[in-house]
Amino acid sequence: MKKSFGLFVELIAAIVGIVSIVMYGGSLVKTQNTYIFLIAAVVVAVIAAIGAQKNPGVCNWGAPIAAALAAAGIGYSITVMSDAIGYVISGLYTMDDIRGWVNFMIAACIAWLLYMIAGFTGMAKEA
Amino acid sequence: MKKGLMRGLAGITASLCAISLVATAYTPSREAFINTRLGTSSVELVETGDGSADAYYYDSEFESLGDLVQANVDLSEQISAEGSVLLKNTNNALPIDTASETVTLWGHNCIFPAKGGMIGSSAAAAEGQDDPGFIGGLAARGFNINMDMVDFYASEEAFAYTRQTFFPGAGLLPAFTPAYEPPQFYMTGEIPASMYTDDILKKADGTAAIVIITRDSSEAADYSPTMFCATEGDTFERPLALSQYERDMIALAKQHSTKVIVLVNADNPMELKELKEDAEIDSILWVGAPGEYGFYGIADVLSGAANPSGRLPDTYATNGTSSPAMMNFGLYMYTNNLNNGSAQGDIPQLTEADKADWYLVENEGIYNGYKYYETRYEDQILGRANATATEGSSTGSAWNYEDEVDYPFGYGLSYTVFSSTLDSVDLTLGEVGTATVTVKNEGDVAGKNAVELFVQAPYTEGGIEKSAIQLVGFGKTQILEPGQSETITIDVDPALFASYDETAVKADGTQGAWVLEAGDYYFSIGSDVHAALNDILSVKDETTVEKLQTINDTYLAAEHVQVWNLAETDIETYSAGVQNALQEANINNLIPDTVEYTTRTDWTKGWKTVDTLTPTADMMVGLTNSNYALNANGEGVTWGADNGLTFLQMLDIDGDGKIVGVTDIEDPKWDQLVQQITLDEAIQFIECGGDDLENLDSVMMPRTYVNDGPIGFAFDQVAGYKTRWTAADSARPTYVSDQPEAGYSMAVFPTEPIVAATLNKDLVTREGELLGEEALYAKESGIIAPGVNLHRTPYCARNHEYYSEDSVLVAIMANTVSAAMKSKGLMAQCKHFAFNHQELNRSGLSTFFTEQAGRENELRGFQLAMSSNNTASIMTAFNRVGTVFAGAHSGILEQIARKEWGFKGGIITDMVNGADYMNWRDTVAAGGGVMLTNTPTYLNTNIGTMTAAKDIIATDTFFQQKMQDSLKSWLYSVAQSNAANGLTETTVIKHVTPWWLQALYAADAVFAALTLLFVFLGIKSKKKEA
Repeated sequence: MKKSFGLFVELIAAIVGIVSIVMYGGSLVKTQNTYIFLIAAVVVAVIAAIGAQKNPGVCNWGAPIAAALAAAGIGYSITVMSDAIGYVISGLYTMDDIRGWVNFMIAACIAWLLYMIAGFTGMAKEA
Repeated sequence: MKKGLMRGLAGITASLCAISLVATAYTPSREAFINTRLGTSSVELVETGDGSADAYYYDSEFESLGDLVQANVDLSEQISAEGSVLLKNTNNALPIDTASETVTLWGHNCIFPAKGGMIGSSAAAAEGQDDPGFIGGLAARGFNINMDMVDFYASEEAFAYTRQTFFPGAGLLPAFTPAYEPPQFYMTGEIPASMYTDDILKKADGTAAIVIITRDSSEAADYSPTMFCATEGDTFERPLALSQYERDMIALAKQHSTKVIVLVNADNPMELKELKEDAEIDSILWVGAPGEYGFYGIADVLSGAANPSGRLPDTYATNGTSSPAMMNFGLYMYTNNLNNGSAQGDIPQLTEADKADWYLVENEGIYNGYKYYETRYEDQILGRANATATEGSSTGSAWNYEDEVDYPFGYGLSYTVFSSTLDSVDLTLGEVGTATVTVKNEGDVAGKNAVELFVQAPYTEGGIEKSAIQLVGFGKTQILEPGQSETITIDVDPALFASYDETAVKADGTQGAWVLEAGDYYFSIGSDVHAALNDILSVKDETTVEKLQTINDTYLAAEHVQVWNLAETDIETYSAGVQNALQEANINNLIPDTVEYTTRTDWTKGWKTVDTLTPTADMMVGLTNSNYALNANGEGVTWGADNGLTFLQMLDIDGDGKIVGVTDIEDPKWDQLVQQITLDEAIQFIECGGDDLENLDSVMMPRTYVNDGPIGFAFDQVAGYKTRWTAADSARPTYVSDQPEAGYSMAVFPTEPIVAATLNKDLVTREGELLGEEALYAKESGIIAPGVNLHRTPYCARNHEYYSEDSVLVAIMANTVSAAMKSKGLMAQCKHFAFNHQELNRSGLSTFFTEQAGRENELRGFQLAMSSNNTASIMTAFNRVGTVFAGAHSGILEQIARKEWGFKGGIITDMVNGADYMNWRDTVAAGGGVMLTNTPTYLNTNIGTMTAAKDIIATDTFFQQKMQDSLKSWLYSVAQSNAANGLTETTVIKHVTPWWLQALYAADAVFAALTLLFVFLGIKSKKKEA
C-alpha cells in the first residue's frame, strides 16, 4: 500500500471544509443542519485519511461519503438563504448583505469538489 | 482505475442525491410559491355530486377579461381627473386649447414618471399592456406635442441622468436590512440646463410649457432632510424642495414658452412656495402618482374635458421639516444598540435577534398635519400660548402661519366658481347625524364641487388637547351646469370628533374615555381647512377678522358656519368597553420626562429631539421579544373532532345561490367547526401564512390566495391574471389562460392620496368593486389593501400607500373601499395595524406616542372599516407599539380592535422580517394569528418552529385557545369571500403531487439507485482485482 495524491487532496478538502465551517458564522442566516453535515464531512474525511494507511479498501470510500455530506450541508444553507437571495435579485438586499454566505459557499464548494476528486483518486493505493 | 472511477462517480451521484433530498424536504414548505410560479397546484377541488349545484356565489359583472381591463382604464381616468388638485391657475392658462396650442413637456422625468411606488405598489405595464405615461396620455387626448423635446429627453445622452437605483424611474433606495445611517441620497433624474441646445430650445418657442416635477415613493424607504442629490451635478436643500437642475429647467421653460404649467408628480407634499409666488408660473396642478392609466385623466384636466375638483389630502408646508412631527423622525438608537452601543449597567446590549435597536418618539402629540398648523394659527390670531414664538418657525423669526403653509389641507381650485351654504347640522349623541349643504355653480363652466365639513370643538386652555379644527365628513356634487345648484347630505358621527381623555374615570370605574365636552361646536364648510377655520373665527369673534390670514382666493362667509351646542359633557356614550390600553406606548410613562410633547398651552414646547434613550429592565422584556412563555396549563382544548360540519355550512345563501351572510361568529357552531381542525393543521395554518392561507381539509376550507396591494394586485406577486389558474379550473366562468390580457399587471390604479383627493365615495366604491372583479379573474380571495396608516410626516416615502394626514378622511376612504370589496367577495386587509409611520428600520422600531394621539389620529383611521367588519382582515405592522411588536400587542389587538370595536376578522402579520421579534408565540398569545412566512423562517431562531414546539403547545390550554380564536376569525372572514366559489356540499379537497415534486422524487430515486450501482460496481471490481 502506498500513499496517493488523493490523500493530500482529501486533507486539503478537510482543511478547506473546516475553513468553510468557520466562515459560515458570517452568513446572514444560518442553520444547524449545515454545521452538522459539514462537520460530519470533515470528521469522515479525517478518519478516512488516517485509516487509509491501514485499510484503504474501506477508507477510500470516505471521500465520496464526505462529498455527499458536504453537499447536504451546502443544500441546507441554500434553503434558509432563499429569501435573502430573492431579495438580492429584487434589489432589496445588496450583495454585501449576503457576502458572508457567498464566501462560505465558495469555500464549501471547493471542499466539496476536492472530496469528489479524492473519491476518484483514492487516498491510498490498494494492494 | 475502475474502482476509483466507480468511487468517484458514486461520490458525484451521492452528492446529487443529497442535494435532491434536501430539496425534496424543503420545497413543500414553499409549495404555494413554487406552484404559482409554475402554474401548478397541490390541491384540487373535486365534485363528487352530480355537478348540478351552482357553486359560484360571486359572479363577475363582465363578459370578458377585456371588458374588466377597460373598466379599470376608465375608472383610473376618472379617479385621476377628479383627484388631481389645481393649486394655481392664473391668466387662464388652463385649460389648454388642444386645437390651437402646442405643448412642450419640460423635465426629463416625463420619460419615466412616478406611477406608483416601489415594491407593493409598483406600477409597471406588462408586455402588450397600455402604458401611456404623460406623453401617451396627452397624445391620446389630442394634444399637439413638441416631440423634439421628448426625443431629446429620450436620447442616450439624457438617459444617463435617469432616476435608476434599481430600474429606470426609481430614485429611492429601499432596503429590508437594518440601517445604521440615515438614507443617503435621492436621484432627481433632472438634466443640467447646459444640455439643452439652442436648436432644442428654439423648437419650444411659442409653445405652452408643461413642466413635470417628480418625486418617487417606495416601501422600505424614507426621505431624509439630510439626503444629498445623487444626480450628477444637481443639488437640493431638501429632497422635497426643488433641485437646482429643476429650477434651471423651469427658468428655460419660462424663457421659451407662452405659459408655464407645472405638474407635481409626487405623493409626498413638496415645497412649492417659489412656484406659487412666481408670477411667471401660470398654473400648478398636483397629479400625484397616477398609476398606469391615470395619465388620461390628467390630460382631461389639462384640456378642460374634466373640470378639476380634487382637494389636497395633506398640508403643503413651505418647509416640510417645520412640523413637530419631524423632530424625531429618522434614525435614533438605544444606547445599548447592537451597532455602536453597549450594555448599560444591568441592561444588556441588544442582539441581532432582538431587532430592537431603534426608536421613534412621536412628540407632536395629537398635532400632526393641519392639526398643528391650523391650531397654532388660531392661537396666533388669538394671541395665546406663545404661538408666535420662534420655536418651530421655518424663517427663524416670529412664527407666522403665512410663512409656514403654502397650501392647506383641503385646498383645490376649479375652472368655475361655486358658492356653498351650510344649511343645517342635525345631531344627537349616539347617532349618526347629518349636515346639509347647498352648492351652486356661480361660474360659466360645468363642474363638480367637493365639500368638506369641519368642526371646532370647545377648548379650554390647559384642558384636553384639541385641534382647533378637524374634518368630520365630506361629500361631492354631481356635475353642476352653470347656475345649477345641488343640496348634498353629509353624515356626521360625533364619535369622529370626540377627544380621548386618558384621565377620565367612567361610571364603571375604568379609566380612559371618549369625551365630548359641553359647549358650542362650530361646524364649517370653508373651501379648505384654513378657510373653514377663518370662517369659524370670524363668526365667533368679529374683532378677529382684520387679523385673519387668507390663502389665495379663499373668502369668509357666515353662511359656511353652523353652531351646535352640547349642554353637558359626555364621557359615556362612545366609551362602552373602552379603557386605557396604550399607556406603555408613552415613553414618559416608562422613563419620566423623556420627551416634551407639543401642547396648546405653550407652543415653545415640543421641539426637542430625544437623542439618547436607555431602555429600562421592563422595556427590555418587549425589546427582547419575551412577552409570553409557553407553559402547561388548563384542561386542554378539542382538536380533530368529528362534528360533521363544513366551512360551506356556515354561509347564508339566498335563492339565487349568492352569499348574503354568514353564521354569527358568536354561534357555537363556529366553535364546533374549529374543533374539527387538527392541531397539525392549525400549526400549519398559523405558521405558514405566506403567499396564501393554507387549506384546512378537516373543514373543507380551500387554499386561499391573498396578495398586495393598494393599487391592485402587485405584479411581482401575481404576475398577471393567469398566475393562479391551472387547467383543473378551466370550467370556471372567470378562468384565464390565453386571453390577450392574461399576463397584464393588475397594479394599475392611481395611488391612495389621489383617491383621497377625489372626495368621491362613488369612485372609491367603484374602485373596491373593480378590485373585487380583479380577484375573480385572478383567482385571488384577499388583497393586502387598503393602506390605512397616517401621513404623519411628508418624509415617509410610503405615504403613497396611505390616504391622508387626516384620520377621518382615511377612515371613510378605507371603510368605503373595503365595503365595496366585500360586496364582490374580496377580503380587504387593512394595513399596517398600527403606527407604521416610518419605513427606515421599520422592522423592530419602537414607536412611542401618547394614547390620546394614537387613538384620535392613527387608530381612528382604522376604526370604521374594522368596527363595521367591512375589512375582512388586518395586517399588523412591522414596528413595535412602545416596545412590543405590533403584531403581538394585546392592547391594540384584543382590547381596542376586538373588545372596543367588535372586529371579528382575521389578523396576519406583515412579512416576517426578523423571526425572533415577529415570533409566532408572542403573536398568537396576544390575539394575533397567522404569520406571513413559511416554516423554514423559524428554523434558525431562538424560538424555533411552531411544528417543533407542538408537544409543549399541546399542554398550553391558553395558547391553544388563542390558536382556535385565530382560526375562527379567519374561517369567518374566508367564508364570506370568493374562496367559496367552486365549493358545494359534495366537493372534496383532493391533494395532488405537482410535476415538479414528482420530478424531485424521481431524482431522489435515480441518484440513490446510481449511487448504489456505483458502490456495487466499485466493490465488485475490488473483489475481482483481489
